[in-house]
Amino acid sequence: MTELRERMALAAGDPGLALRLGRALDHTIAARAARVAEASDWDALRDAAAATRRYSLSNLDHLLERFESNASASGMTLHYAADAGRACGTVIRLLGSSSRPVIKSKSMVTEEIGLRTALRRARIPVVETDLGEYIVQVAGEAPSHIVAPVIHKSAADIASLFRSRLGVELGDDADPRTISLAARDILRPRFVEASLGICGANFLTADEGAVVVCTNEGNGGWCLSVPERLIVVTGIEKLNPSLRHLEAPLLLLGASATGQRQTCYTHVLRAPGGGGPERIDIVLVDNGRSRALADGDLWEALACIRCGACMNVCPVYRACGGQAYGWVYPGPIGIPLAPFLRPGRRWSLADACTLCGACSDVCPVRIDLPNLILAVRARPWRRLPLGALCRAAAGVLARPRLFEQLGRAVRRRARRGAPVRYGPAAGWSLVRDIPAVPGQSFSEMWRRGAGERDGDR
Amino acid sequence: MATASSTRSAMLARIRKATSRRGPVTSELWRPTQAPSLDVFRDRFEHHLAAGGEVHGSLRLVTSIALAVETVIEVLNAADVRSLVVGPSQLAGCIAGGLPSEIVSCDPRAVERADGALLEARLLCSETGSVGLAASDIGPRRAAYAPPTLVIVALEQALVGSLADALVRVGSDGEAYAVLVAGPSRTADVEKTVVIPAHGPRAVHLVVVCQSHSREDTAVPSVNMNWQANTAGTDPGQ
Repeated sequence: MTELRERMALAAGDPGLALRLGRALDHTIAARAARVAEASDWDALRDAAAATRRYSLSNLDHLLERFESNASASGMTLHYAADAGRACGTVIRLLGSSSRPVIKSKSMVTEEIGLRTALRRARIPVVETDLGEYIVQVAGEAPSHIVAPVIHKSAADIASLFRSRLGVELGDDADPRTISLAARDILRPRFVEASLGICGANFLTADEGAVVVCTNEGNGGWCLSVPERLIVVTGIEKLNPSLRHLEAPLLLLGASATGQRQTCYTHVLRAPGGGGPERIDIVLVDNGRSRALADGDLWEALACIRCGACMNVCPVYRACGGQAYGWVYPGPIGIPLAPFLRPGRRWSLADACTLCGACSDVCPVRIDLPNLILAVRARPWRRLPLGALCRAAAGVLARPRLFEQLGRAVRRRARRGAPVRYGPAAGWSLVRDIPAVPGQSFSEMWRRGAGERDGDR
Repeated sequence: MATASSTRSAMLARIRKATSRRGPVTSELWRPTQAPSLDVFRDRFEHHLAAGGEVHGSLRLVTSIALAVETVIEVLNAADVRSLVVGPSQLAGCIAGGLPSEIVSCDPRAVERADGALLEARLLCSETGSVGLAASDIGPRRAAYAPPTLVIVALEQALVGSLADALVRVGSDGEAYAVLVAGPSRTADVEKTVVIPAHGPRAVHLVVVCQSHSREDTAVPSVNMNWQANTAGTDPGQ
């Protein structure tokens, strides 16, 4: 079995995981449903957001130049990073060699490029300030969901983590409130003394040269306030035309990600100074996005606004959890992004899908995920000499005697043991009952019976 | 080794090539315009204050600055605020002038130790029930996040209808930073249970000075429900 299947089989066999995950995900799904029900124009919002995101991707070069021009004029410094390694290198260079404390707010692209590991290797102390990401950092794990990083953990798990890794005793029956307030106390001094900050961006707008960050916890606010120097790390696909165009995406993001009417804080950052960081650097990360953009089938996966709604309803995600996917973007959206953002790995996430379509029903920007996933599935097969294979098959089918001989040989072999349990069909046959191999083909049976039939007349 | 400008040119070239094969795509944005509504704003703002059966803040509508001062004093006493940082805006200063002087902290470096902050909001959005704070009204930016009790004062004229209106206002005011605040800080990272506070304020109290204090909508001329069609931004070539 491949590594992916092993991980998923292991995860799917853990009933505790399914229970915790199901409870948490159902909560978000219900909250989202409440927002959908109260909105008078949910579908119109989706249309508007879908159109805005596709427009943005189709005009990305112009928007990028306009953003660059406006953001630079406001005093922000832009950097371009072609890939993950260069992005990490740029951030490390910008942070400098001093060991001043660095605070970081949530950014999935920094997970994607492995920034935390790179900073650890460079001996730069950084503390994650989003509660879920902080717990993930303390645990030394990868986040399991792009919105709720520790959705797979129970309160008891987390309390035990605080005890073993931080020496903080919260009691065996610590509830979410106790844990969250403990984290507030732990992180507060780190906020106050921070002199360097790293954050992500939910959206960028070209007309204003603005960085838009959506958070709930206030850690984003601290990161955008206290440090003398702030580094924004963002994928290039986050660009949009203007703030006004973010109306639909913002309304949909809150509802889809957490079932809120609006995330608690929507920060709009345009320039250094003004009571905040005196220097702002923006690292624009490509890491395969321009290649994805060029792909005629899969480019619309870049429209994603990272709400997580697709994975909330995905039966595979719900059965296995996010860590089993082995990558920063689990669930449906991860599948069409993987070939570009992580091309070196030989694994096929595209198999981790039942094509049920629940994901595209909830996607706020109407990404046609099932068809994108099918397209990813088809890719490896296109490398086969399909024309030659089809011609060979046609050749056999056109020769009835050859076909019959082949059939007899296969049936003989099958009666000795099930060949389909091995080889390329192994995975398929593992979860299906293979019917008993018949003793003769229908043609043979018909021919034998023909003598009797003629005799009846 | 790739220079900064060659990385940039290479990236732009890849993007240009990727998008060139695609025809022009217009972004039709259409949403009915929404008139500002104090009632809707009140409902939605108060919704943001509630979690776990508790209310973490308040909204008071008053008819004069003097009443606003009284209300703020009430709020500060109830929240046991002994030291207050005041934002640099005119309205905040005006109200602070009416507060007991021992509360008002004059040390701009003591923001992290303050119990409360008094800031003016020049933007209220009824659709989302959120409050817009601009950098020049916050002062040292952590004043909006460090003190546990956040008291916001606003004039009724600050109210706009839809989120788009709010975003346009934010985009056109030339500020280095702005934030739309929808209640006190919160997290639900542990078992999806909402906990207030997280790392920011634990309570948000809003005092709005209205011309006429009544439950009916006050500022609605003819309600324009036309669908607006806009093509996104300017032409790509410009």
